[in-house]
Amino acid sequence: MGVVRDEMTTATATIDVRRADTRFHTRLPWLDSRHSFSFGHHRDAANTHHGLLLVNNDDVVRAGTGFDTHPHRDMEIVTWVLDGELEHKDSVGNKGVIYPGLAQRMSAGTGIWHSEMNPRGDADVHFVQMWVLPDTERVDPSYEQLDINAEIDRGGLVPVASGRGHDTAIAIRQRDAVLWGGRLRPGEQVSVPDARWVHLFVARGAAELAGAGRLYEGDAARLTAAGSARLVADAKRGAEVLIWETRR
Amino acid sequence: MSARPTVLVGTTEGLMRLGEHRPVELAGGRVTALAPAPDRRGWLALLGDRFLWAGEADGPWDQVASFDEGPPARCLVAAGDDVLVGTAEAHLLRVRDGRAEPVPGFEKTEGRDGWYTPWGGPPDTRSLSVGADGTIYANVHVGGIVRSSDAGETWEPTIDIDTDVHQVLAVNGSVLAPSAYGLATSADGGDSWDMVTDGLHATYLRAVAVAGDDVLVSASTGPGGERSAVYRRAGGQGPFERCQAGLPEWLSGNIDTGTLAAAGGRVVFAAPGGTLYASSDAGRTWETLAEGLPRVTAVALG
Repeated sequence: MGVVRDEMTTATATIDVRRADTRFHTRLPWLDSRHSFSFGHHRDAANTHHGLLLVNNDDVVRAGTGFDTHPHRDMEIVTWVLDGELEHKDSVGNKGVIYPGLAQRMSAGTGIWHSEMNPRGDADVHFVQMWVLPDTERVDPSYEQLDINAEIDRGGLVPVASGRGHDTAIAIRQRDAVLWGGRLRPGEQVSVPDARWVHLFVARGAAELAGAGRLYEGDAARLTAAGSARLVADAKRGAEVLIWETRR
Repeated sequence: MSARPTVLVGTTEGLMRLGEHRPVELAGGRVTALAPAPDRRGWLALLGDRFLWAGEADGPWDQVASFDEGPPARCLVAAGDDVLVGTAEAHLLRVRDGRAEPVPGFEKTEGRDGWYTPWGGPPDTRSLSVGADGTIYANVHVGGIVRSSDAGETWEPTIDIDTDVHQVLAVNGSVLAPSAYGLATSADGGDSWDMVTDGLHATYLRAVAVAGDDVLVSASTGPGGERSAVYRRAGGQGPFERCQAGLPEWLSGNIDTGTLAAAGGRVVFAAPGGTLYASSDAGRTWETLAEGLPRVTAVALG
C-alpha cells in the first residue's frame, strides 16, 4: 500500500506481507514448525516481534509425540488447534485436551512447567501457538481453555483471547492485546481491527486483504497504523484467520 | 534380594539402594543424576539441582559442594580428580576441593549460538562422559556433542547439532550417542559418525548403556514415548534386537537419559511408572526388580 501519515499515532502506515515460505523452519522427526518470528536458534534481529506478539509458530506434531515437560516464565501463551488434539499438563496441576475451536491460554507468570503432547496415535496435530508479552510480570501462573466453536461458526471475527474483558474470549494478562479469530466462509468479508499493530495470519485457505493483495495459507500481513482494512475470504475455500491487535 | 548387586536408584523422593535392604537415603531430595566417583570409589549424586553429594560404596553420603547461584545442575561426571557438572542453559562447572567454578572454555565453544530447544527455551548440558584417553564429551540438548582433549580448556563441536542427541557415552574406544535419528556411533572420537537404525521399530533414542561388548538403547516413536522398548546390539555390531524375554511387549513412555545403566553383564533400567527391570545376561532376559517406585530420575549399578 502507499505510505501515509497517521495523524493519531504519527506512525507510518504500512502493510508488510510475509509469505509462508519465508518463515524460519525447524524440522525434527516428530516436529515440523514454521516460525514467523525469531525463535530458538533462528535469529534475525530485524524480525523479533510485531507489537506485543513475539511468537507465531505454525506447528505439526506427529502422532503420539510432542513437547516434553519444559519451563516458561512471564509470557502469555495462546494455542489454537487447526486439526487433531493436543494434551496439556502443567506443574500447577492443570490438564486439558484442546481441539479445533477450543482456545487455550497459559499465563507463565513466575514460572510454570508444562508438556504438550499429541495424545492420538493415528493422526498429527496441527496448531498455532502464539506468545504475547504480559502487562504484569511475576503473576501466579494460570491456565484457561474455552470452547468458542458456537461463536466462531456464526461467522465474522470473534475475540479468542483478550486482555480487554471480552466475555466470549479466554482472558490474557495483557490489556493492550486481543486475538481475533475467524472461520470465514467463501467470499465472506470482514474488517480487520484498527490498531497500532495488527498481525494477520492466514492459518487455512486464502483471502484478499485490501492494500496488500492475496494472502495464502501460512502467509501473514503485519499492519502498522494501517486503519481498518477489508479482508475477503477466498471465493471457493474460505479462510481461517488469526488476527492480533496490539496497542503497544 | 540380599544376594543381588546393589542398584542405586535416584528418584524424586530420594536415593534408594536396592539389594541391601537400605531405606531411602538422602530422603526428601530429588536426585537429578548419578555417576561413579573419581577413581570409581563410591558414587556421586546431584541432589535438588543444587548440591553435589558423595557416598562410599557402603558408607554414608556427605555433601561435597553446592551450586547456590546460576542455573540448576543437570548432569555430572568424574574427570580425573575433579567433577564436571553440566547445568541448564548449557553451562559447565568444575568442582575441585569442594568449590564449583565455571569452565570458561565451554562458553567459547564454536557453534554455541546455534544451540536451542524446540520449545524456544535455553538448552541444557544434558550428559557428560570421559573417554579412556581423557577426552571429555559434553552433550547439549539441543546442541550436539562437543569435546575437549585438554581437560576442558578448549572445546570443539563434533556431530551435527540437529541430530538431536540425548546422551553421550564414551566406552570401549567408541563414542555412542542416542539421538532422534537412531544411535550415532563414532570410532574416531567424534571426528566422524555413523547412524545405526537397523532392527529398531522407531528411531527416537534417549538412553544408551554398554554391557560388556553389547550395546543397549531405549527407543520410541518420539518425545511422547508411545511404543517404547529396549534394544540390544550384540557385540556392538549388526542390527539391534528388541529385548523381550521378561519385559512387556511395549513400554509406555520413554526410558530416559540416565535411567538405563550397565556394569559387566548386568543391566538395569527404569520404566515410566516406577518399575525397575534388571538383567544379568546383558539384556537377553529380564526380571522385574521393583515396582511402584517414585519417579525414577537416574539409575546406577554398584
